[in-house]
Formats: sequence, structure tokens, C-alpha cells
Amino acid sequence: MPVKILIADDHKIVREGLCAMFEKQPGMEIVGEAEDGAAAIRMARELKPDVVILDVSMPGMDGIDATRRLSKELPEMKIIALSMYGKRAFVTKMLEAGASGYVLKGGAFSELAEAVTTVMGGEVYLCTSVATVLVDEYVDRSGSSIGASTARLTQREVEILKLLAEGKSSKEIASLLEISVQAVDAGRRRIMQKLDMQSLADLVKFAIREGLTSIDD
Amino acid sequence: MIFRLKMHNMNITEKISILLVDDHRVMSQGLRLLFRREPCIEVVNGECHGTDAAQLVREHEPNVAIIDVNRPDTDNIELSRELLSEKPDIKIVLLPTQLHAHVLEQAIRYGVMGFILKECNFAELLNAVKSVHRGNIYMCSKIKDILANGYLDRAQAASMGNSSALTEREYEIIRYMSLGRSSKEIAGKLNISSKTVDACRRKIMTKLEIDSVAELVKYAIRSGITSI
Repeated sequence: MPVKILIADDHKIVREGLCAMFEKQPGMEIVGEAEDGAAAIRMARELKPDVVILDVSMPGMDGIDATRRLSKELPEMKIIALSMYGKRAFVTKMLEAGASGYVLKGGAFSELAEAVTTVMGGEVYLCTSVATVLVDEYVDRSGSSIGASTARLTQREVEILKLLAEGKSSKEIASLLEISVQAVDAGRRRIMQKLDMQSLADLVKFAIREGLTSIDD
Repeated sequence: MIFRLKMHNMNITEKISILLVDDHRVMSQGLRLLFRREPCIEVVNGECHGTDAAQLVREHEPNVAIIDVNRPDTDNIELSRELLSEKPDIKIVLLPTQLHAHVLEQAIRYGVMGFILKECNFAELLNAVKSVHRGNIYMCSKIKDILANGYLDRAQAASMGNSSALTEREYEIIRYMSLGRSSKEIAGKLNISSKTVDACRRKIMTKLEIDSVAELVKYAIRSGITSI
């Protein structure tokens, strides 16, 4: 019996490419294609695939939400996240939501096929670059390496960063956190120093990557 | 003589050679496989993430280049320009997930001929390749909407006498700001005074109805002017 796979990605061309690749893969079979999270859930109920390969960022119900619901409703089914981003925030959220694999779109197809085999064997699969991110993070937490991560910031600094990335001025932040403007500015300088960043633009991008602020208006 | 003529005729039905510039390996492997099924198409290159694209154009002289690199659209348009200066008759097809009207217009000006959103199917990409190869512009229907809406927005703003559309220079300033450049640095780059840069910044904020640099950076990311 081939492994039955459901693919969920909002880009038709990506789905077609994946289908073409899986057709050549012995022992694996695509049973359905979903274009968003809601369709993935509907089709998973109906088709009972062994594995769902989910794009993390889809419009409407995104991959994280869909994973949470799928793993609750169909706990036997394995979920593999397929994403453009290997940022810690995304990986952690997907794994917490119940995914057992995480593969980057920048990786080779062989990694995705390997992920299917691995999760079917009941193990967790992380592609090499994602595993590296998590290991770096771990090393980072233990304080023996430098690198940009919120783990290096104090709780207060994270609060300041979040508000800065939401467009608040030093004065507004000061009154929200009930501290002085000088303390906010000093905090900001410390954050930049710790993260080795030179501009507010860099801080905003970092906050987006870390999931501290949303990119929407 | 007759032989040569025959050769010439054969050239007309020759395969369309494609350079595939794509840094999503899963995606590029899939596309390659789909193109391989098409008898009229030949993908000339192995993996290409962008940096070596010009070199590959020199080497293989492909008819068409498909560009799908995960970075700001403006960078991909720069790459298109580079490829076009390398081989002026190369036809470029962009394959973005989304495209901002301003960036689209810029791409058209620079000579990009094909625009297909990733939500389209492979058959449409194939159509686009054949179409640009014949010398026609090809846009999927959503891209046409983006173009039309961009145009209408500007026409409307102009007729109201109070343009809220951003100018080319303002877009440039947004790009530098979202890269973290100071007013002074931007002034140096654009050969204008810091005062002018600051005035432009205020104007941009008014036009976009935002009041912080943080929001401006987010706007730039959403519009494909800068990347996360």
C-alpha cells in the first residue's frame, strides 16, 4: 500500500510541481490537493490520507491553525510543514500545533520524500537548515554564541521592541510601560547592541520574523 | 543553398530554450519535470539561484528566462535588467506570489514581458512562455487587474487634483528607509539635500496615512519593495 498524501498549498503551480515529483516517487501517492487550510481539513476528513503536507502561510486559515485542528481531529495522521521560512517562530508554532515534520521550500525534493518516510515511521523530521536554526538557538540560549534572537533580550526589552515595531514613539512606550522616556531610549540602544542592528527598520523586520508584530496594517 | 533554407525552416520549429532561475529547490525541481514533458521546451540549466544567471545567459543564450527568486520583487526586476543587457532579445517571465502595481509598471518599463502569479496553473505558465517567445506580452488575469487598478488609482488621484499616488523618487526613498538608511545617507545616494529627503518622508507618510517608520517598513515589505 503506497503512503497516501494530501497536499495543501495556495499556489496551484507549486501543487502541480509537487504532484509531478511524487508521481515518480515509488511507494507514495498524492490523493488530493487543497488550496487553503479549510479545504485541507475538509479533504483530510474525506480522504483519510496518511500524511498531509501543509504550506505554513496560506490565506484564510493558515497552516498553523489547520495543523492544530487536524492533529486534534485526526491524531493518527502525520503532518509535514512545507515553508519558505525556517525562522524559529514558525517552526516552534508548527511543531507545537502538532506537525511532525518541517521542510523548507528551498530544500531538495528528496528531503520532502525523506520527511514522509520518517514521519510514517513515527519519528520527527526536520530538514537540515531548520535543525541548524534550532541548534543555533539552543547554543544561543546557553550563552556561548552570538546571534540575533529574542532569547538574548530581557522581558522588558522584548516589550519595548514589540511596541517599537508597532510604530509607537519613545514617549508612548514610556507611558504604556510606566517608565521614563530615557529608560525607553536606553532600552532601545541596548536592544540594537545585543542584536547587532543599526536601525529601526532592522528592528521592525526582526520583530516580524520573531512573530512579535504582524506585517498587516 | 536549398540545404541552408531547410535548416532555417527547422529553426522555426526549434525548441524554446528556457533558463529557470528559482531558489526554491522543491519548486524548481517540480517545474523542471513539468517542462520536460513538453516536447517544445528545453530547460538549459541546472540549479540557478540568481547570482550566476547572467553567466548562464551568456553560456546558453536561452530564448526565455523564468525568474522566481524569494527576495524583494525590485531585486528580481534588477536581475531582469541585467539579463536583458546581456542578451537584449531574451524574454523574461516573472513568477511572483503577489505583485505591487508600482513594481509591475517598473518591470514593464524595463522590458519584462511575462507575468504569472504562482496561484496560476502550469498550463498558463506554458502559454506565457510560448507567448513571450513570439514577442507578445503575457499577463495572467489577476496581474491585469493589478495593472488596471494601479492605473485607475492614479487617474482618480490626478483628477481630484490631490495626488496620493507615490512618485518614483518617493518609492526610492521608501526602499532606502526600509533598508535602515538615515536621511543623510539617502541624501548622499540620491544627490539631494537632507532637507529634501525629510520633506519627502513627511509627504510619503501623509500619502500613505501612516505616522511611523515601523509602519512604513511594513508597507514596504507588503509591497515587495523590501524583504523580511
